[in-house]
Amino acid sequence: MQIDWITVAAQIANFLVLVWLLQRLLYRPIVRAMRNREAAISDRFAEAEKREAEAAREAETLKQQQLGLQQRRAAMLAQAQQEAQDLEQRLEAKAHERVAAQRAAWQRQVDRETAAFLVDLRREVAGHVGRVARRVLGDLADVRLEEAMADTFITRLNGLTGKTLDNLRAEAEAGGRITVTSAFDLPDPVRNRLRKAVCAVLHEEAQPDFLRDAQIGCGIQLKVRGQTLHWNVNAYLDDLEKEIGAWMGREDGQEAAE
Amino acid sequence: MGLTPDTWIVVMLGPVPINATIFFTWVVMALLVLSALVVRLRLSQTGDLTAAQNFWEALVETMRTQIREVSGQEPGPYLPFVGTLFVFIAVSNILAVVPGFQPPTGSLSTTTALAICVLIAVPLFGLARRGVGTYLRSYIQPTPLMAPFNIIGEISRTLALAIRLYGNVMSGTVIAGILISIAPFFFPILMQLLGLLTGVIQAYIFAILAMVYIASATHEHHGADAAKGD
Repeated sequence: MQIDWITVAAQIANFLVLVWLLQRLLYRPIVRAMRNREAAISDRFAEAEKREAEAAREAETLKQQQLGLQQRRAAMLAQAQQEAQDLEQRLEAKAHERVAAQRAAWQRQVDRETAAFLVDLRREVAGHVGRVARRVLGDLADVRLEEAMADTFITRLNGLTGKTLDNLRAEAEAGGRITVTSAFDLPDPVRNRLRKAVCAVLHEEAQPDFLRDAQIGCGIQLKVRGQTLHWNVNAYLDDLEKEIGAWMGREDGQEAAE
Repeated sequence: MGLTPDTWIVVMLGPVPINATIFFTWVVMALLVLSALVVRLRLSQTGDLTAAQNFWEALVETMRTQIREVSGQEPGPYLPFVGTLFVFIAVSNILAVVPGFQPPTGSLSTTTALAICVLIAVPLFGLARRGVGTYLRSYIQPTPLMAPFNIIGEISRTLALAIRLYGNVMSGTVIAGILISIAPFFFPILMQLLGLLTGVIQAYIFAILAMVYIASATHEHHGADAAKGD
């Protein structure tokens, strides 16, 4: 084991040269490159954090905008629903009004037709009743309807009392025109009997005029100016009309219910 | 086979004989400078690194970390010296597996030269960092009577540094030669592989101890502990 001091000196020189070379060629450039890269990475991190913060802010802004849009959308939807509901109610009310108006018009039409029908029916029934009664009385009892009606009328005229009789007499004595109206022509005997009965009850010099009017129905009517006494089948026809009217009302109600 | 390559004259540069120690030192230096030039020429400042740059960056960063941990200081001023110690010794020891290569670190002259470098560098770093007065006062701590012992300790640890590295590298080379003569097959290969490991470890130990000595000189409290430990 020996030390060659010349070699030692040479090695010291070699080592110092190597230190200088590596410092210039290796350590300094590499450290500088690493620092630059670290700085670049730090810059990128800072930039990334900045962008992340910006993205977060934008995300928050978008979130707020979205929330606002949702709220506006909900408000608009609620308003639209309310308007639709109001419109529905208005249309429904209008439809109800229209239906009610049509129903009322229809009801009036029905009432008019019913009234017209009843008038026709009344006339037809009265004529028919008269004809039937005439035939029945003629066939079964050999009695003429006009005579029977005249008898009944005379009986009622004779049985008059009170205010009605007084009013009739007052009008007749005052010279009022006395008319006896029937729906059909009365035979002369019947007319004579009626004339006598009128003279006996109202005024001795009374000269009743005999008129024919199919509108009064089956019966006889005595009229002295404003005072009237009549007997006919209208009362029966009124009952019949009431029953038919009630029956038709029930039918209408059932149809409406159905 | 001699115990030192100092006696093996490889080439004559005129009248100057170049022994194996100096010659193979130049080889190692040439390899290192060539590698540094390759890295320098293709140095990338961005993330696209070459393999060589990647290797050297990892090595340099590791050395900087070690220096920072040992000294507790920024590694900038110490990296060239300590890093070159490690790189030179490690490459020399690793190249020992190449047939015909005589590692310069197997020469006591080389290790002495490196130890002398450390011996000189330690007070230089101490003076540069702490100032002349403060540094010189550390030799008379705790009392002026300790000054001779501190100086002897400084020299003896440098001597130990040189002898340790020389002994390990030289013994590895000698053992490999002996084993080749006794058992020429297989076993020397294993010893060479083991030599690779011990060579790198020796480089690490040498560089770390140098850094410890420098740290003890540049840092007052740590200096006392390191001197006791050594």
